[in-house]
Amino acid sequence: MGKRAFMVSLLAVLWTLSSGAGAAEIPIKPLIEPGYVPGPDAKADEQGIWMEMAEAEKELRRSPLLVRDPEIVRFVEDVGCRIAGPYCDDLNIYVIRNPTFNASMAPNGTMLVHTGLLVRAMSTDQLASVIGHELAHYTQKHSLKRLRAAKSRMTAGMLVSMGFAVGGVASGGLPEILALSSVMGFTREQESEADLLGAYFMSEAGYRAGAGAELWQMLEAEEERASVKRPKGPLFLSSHPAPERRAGMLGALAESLDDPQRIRAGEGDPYVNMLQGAYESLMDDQVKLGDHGRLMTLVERHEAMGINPSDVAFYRGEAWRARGGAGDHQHAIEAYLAAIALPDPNPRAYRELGYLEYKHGDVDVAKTHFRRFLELEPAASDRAMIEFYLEDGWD
Amino acid sequence: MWRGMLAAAAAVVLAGCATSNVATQGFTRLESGRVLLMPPDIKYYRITASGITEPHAQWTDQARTAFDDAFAGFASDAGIDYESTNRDELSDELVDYDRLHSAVGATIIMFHYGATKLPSKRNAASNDYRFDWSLGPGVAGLADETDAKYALFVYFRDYQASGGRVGVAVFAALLGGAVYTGHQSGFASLVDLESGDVVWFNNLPLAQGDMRSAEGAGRLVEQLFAEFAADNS
Repeated sequence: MGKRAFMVSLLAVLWTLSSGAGAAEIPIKPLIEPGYVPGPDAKADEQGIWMEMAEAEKELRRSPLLVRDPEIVRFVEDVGCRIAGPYCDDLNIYVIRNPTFNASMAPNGTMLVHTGLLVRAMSTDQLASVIGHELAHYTQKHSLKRLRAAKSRMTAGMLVSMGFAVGGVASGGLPEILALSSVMGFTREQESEADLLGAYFMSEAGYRAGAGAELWQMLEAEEERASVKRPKGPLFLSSHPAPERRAGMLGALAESLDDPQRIRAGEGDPYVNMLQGAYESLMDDQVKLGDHGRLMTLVERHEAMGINPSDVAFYRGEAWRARGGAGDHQHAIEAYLAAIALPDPNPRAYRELGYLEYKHGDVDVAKTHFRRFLELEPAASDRAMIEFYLEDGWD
Repeated sequence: MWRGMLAAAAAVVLAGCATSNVATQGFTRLESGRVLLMPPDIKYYRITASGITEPHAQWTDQARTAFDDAFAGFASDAGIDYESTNRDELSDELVDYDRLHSAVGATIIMFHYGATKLPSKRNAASNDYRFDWSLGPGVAGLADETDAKYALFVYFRDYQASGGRVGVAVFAALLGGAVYTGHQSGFASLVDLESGDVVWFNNLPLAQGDMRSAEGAGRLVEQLFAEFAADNS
């Protein structure tokens, strides 16, 4: 579908919605029926891709990067199933330990959700917006279409340059092509179609379609404060509609799909509990990314969501400590002190205070913090190291 | 990554011939002892007109079934006591060793059979290269787990030119060019489950036969396991 045709159909949809009553009819017909598996009559390239993906999925199940925390997995699967409706059994969602914001969909319904996405979304609805979008890539067979387009372009290109053709053995395998097409990404039309259809899947499942636009606005806000910007160009911005355009378009669509209501900043949303349960493991990976601006954005976001304030203060301290520029350690100490002054203090704040005081300040104060840390975390893996400091092991 | 290396290694040694290419360490023929047949890594690809290799599910299924039958026939004739394994039901430990073997097998193809030899494996006196590859003695645990004395690994790839690709090749030939139109290659590797050593290895850089048919699979099994078992000479 060309861009113009797409905009026309979008306008038609908006018009239908504003004039009609009751549930909106999904404007794009899914190309895949629930329960779809390419049969013997399917084209060989599709069967082959499904075979390769089935094998890749088996490898994935054994991957050390696969998140197995049942709380997280169940939460994401439940949202996936609810939004996928009749496609629930076709959608296989895997949560992958990767600190970047991303999700992807394979032609056979295997979907990857990065932990970096879970730590950035603020609500169940926002998570649902990503799953709905990826589900639409699946039901519209976008990967297969993209692969076929790439193949036919390569054929055309090769026939033109035939005179120079040299046989290559290992070139042009499926993994390379898949990699290539994922670098090229889906087309803008495909992304827009997925946004649109995804919003309908959300709406059908009772999620708030407006959450998609919020998520894109939040990504923009994070990007502005990022110490290291996300690479522009084909990886992100040119294959996806520009975030502000995307937010605008989704917002317009959502207005017609949703009852007007404010951003739910977590209250009563089970998303906050899920995030709280995995908070430290997810945030530790963000600290390792070493991007102060992004980390501070996340910390403020989590504060607004109602994540345990002491945990949030601890990670504010981590953001300062990890950057470690002039004066940063002083900021870190202030944040850790705030963390231990709050109810249900994060024990690790004591440990970091111990180290910072040991380096920059008062050794006796450091020891008080270390002792408190060991009281709260007697089984700490670095207990021997801290005892070494407590016993003045240097002397 | 190792699979990619194997493909590259196959390309490096394509200049080889179609006869079997056996290397051994402390092994002559399989006399006794149960063999654990690891899930054969067999795959068929189709080469499109533009030279993209696409996995082909139906051909792969046919080839895997035909191999299983052909191997069963071969083992029965040769008196080999063996046990098949199912890829979906392997223990985590077997999966780990299967992957380790992929890496070791690719390394053997690249550095024992390939043009790039490892100086550390060179016998100065005889000016040849030692075949002393091993998965390490850690595999010994598998012998207890499986009741087998050996593990057998099979790798096979077939790249078939599509009609369009053949057309391109003919056209290129008219212009004096050459276009890759596919090949078959594979290896079989026997690992002693006590020592972990690769005791017998057969490299087929250019195999001949179509694994998808009963006769083709029979021929390929003969090539892969030439001089393998006592009763099969």
